[in-house]
Amino acid sequence: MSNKAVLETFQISKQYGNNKALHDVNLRIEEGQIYGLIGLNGSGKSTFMRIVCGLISATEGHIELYGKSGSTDLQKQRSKLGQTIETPALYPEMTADENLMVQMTLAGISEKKKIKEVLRRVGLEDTGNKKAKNFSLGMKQRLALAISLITDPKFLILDEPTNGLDPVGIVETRDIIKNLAHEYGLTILLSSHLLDELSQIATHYGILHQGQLITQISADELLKSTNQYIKIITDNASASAEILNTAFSVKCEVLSDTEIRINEQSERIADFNKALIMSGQKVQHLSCNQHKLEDYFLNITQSN
Amino acid sequence: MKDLLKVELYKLSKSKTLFYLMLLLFTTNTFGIITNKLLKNYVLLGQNGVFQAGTSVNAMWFGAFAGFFIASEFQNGGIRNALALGKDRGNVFMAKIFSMIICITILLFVIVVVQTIGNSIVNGFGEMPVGEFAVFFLKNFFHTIVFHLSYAGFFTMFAFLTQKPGLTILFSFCFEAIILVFGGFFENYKGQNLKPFLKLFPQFYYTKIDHNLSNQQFFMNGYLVCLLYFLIPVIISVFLFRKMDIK
Repeated sequence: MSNKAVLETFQISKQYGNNKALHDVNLRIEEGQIYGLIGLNGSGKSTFMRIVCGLISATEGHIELYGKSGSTDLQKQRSKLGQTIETPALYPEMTADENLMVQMTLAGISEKKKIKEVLRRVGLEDTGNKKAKNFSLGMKQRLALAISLITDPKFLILDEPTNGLDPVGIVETRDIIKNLAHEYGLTILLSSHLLDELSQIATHYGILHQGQLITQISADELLKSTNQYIKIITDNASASAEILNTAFSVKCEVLSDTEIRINEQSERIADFNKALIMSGQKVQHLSCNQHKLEDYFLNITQSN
Repeated sequence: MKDLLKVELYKLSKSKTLFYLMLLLFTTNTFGIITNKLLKNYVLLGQNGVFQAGTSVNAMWFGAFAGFFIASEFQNGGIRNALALGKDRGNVFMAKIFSMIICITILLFVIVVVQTIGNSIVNGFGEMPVGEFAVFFLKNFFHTIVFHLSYAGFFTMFAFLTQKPGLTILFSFCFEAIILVFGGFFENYKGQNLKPFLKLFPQFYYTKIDHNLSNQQFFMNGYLVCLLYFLIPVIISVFLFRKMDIK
C-alpha cells in the first residue's frame, strides 16, 4: 500500500462559543485506506468532516489535501472529493437523473452516459426518471452516494452512510462501499455508529472522543492488540472456575451462575474442556473468541 | 463560474417555483385588469402596459422566489455539494444573484405582457405604431428591470444569511413593508417637505418612469440608487458568506 497522504490534519480545533467541538486533531489518511472514524454522538465526527469539505472553518490548525494546503490550493483539491454528510443532499422535486445532472454540470462534466453507469454502481438502475421525493430513505442514501460518485472522486467522505437503513440496506451499502474501494481504488473516510458493520469494511480506525482523536489504529494492529478469550457455559460457573484455576493456574472471570470468561492460555481450550468433563462438569458451550471493535472502543473511551 | 451559472439555468428550467410564480402573477394581473375595468377606476391603454410592472405587491413575489429557490438550497444540500466540490463562495453567491436576476426579468416580463395584452383587449391598444411601440416597450422594460434589480441583492442576502426559506420570505416582506412605510411617510408628511428623500427609494423610480420619459437626470439618479441598493447587500453577503459555517 502506498504511503502517500490523501488527508493530513495538523492541530485542528473548532470552537463554538465556549464549547470546543474539536481539540488538536492530528489525523492522517493514506491512499487506498478505508478509514473508519468512530465516536459517540457529539464527539466531533461530522464537524471534522465538514472542515475537510470546506463547509466550516477550523478555529485553529490546518489541513492538507493531497499534500496541498492554503485556501486556493485546498479549493482545487476539493474537486477530487465526493461527500455525503448527514442528510442526503438532494433536490426532492427533481428525478434521480436530474439530480445527477446538476452535480455533473457543477463539476463541468458533460458525458450523460455516466448517469446510468453511476446509478448501476449504487444499485439504482431503472429509477432514473423517478423523483427523489418518492425514494425510500435507503434509496435516497444511495442516490446521494451516486451524486458524490458522478464527479469521479478520488477521496470519498461518508458520514453515517447507513443511518436509518434496514438490515438489508445496511448490507447492500456495505457491499457498495467495499466495491468502490476494491474495484475503483477510492480512498474512503467514513463514520458509523454501527461498529460491527464498520469493522467489516475499514482498514484503519480513528477514535474521536469529546473532540479529541484519542487513537489511530489499523485493522491489523487492532487484531493484534485485542486478545482472544474463551467463553465457557457450564451448569456451575464457580465450581468450574475453581477446577480450572487449580489445574492450570488460570484466572477465570465468573460472569454469571453459568458463564466463565478466560482471557489467557486460549491455546489450551481442549485441555480446559477435558478437565471440566473429567471433573463431572456439564459443559454446554465452549468457544474461543476475539474481542470486537466495540469492546476496544468502549475500553479506550472509558479509560479516557 | 461558468459551471455554476449553467447549473442555475438548468435548475431554473426544472424549477416549479418559477413556474408557480409566473402563474400567480399572470392570474393576479389578469384579475387586476378585469377588476379595474369593472370598477371603472381608470383607463389604461395596452401600449402603456409596460409601466404596470412597478407595484410593490408584484415585487413581494421576488422574495418568495429567494426563499423557495435560493434559501432552500441550504436545506436540501445544494450549497453543500457546490462548496465541497471546491467552488469559490463568492462565485456561488454571484450565481445565486444571477438566478435572482433571471427570475426578476422573467416575472416582470410576464407582468408587462399580461398588462399590455390584457389592457389592449379591454381598453384598446392606443395609437402608437408597431415599430415605435417595440422601441418604447424594450426601452422602458429595460428601465423597469434595472430599477427592480435593487431587490435582487437584498433578497439574496436574506436567503444566504437566514439559510431558511420561511425566514427569507418573512425578511423580504418586512423589507418591502419598511420601504413602503418610509416612502409613504416622506410622500405624505404635512410639515417639512420630505419628498426629496423619496429619491432614495427604488420604488420612486420604477413607479414614476412614465412621468419622466425624457428626464435624463431621473434615470441617472435611478440607476445610481438601484446600483447602491444592489451592491451594498452583495458586498455584505459575500463578506459574511465567506466566513459562514454551512450546516
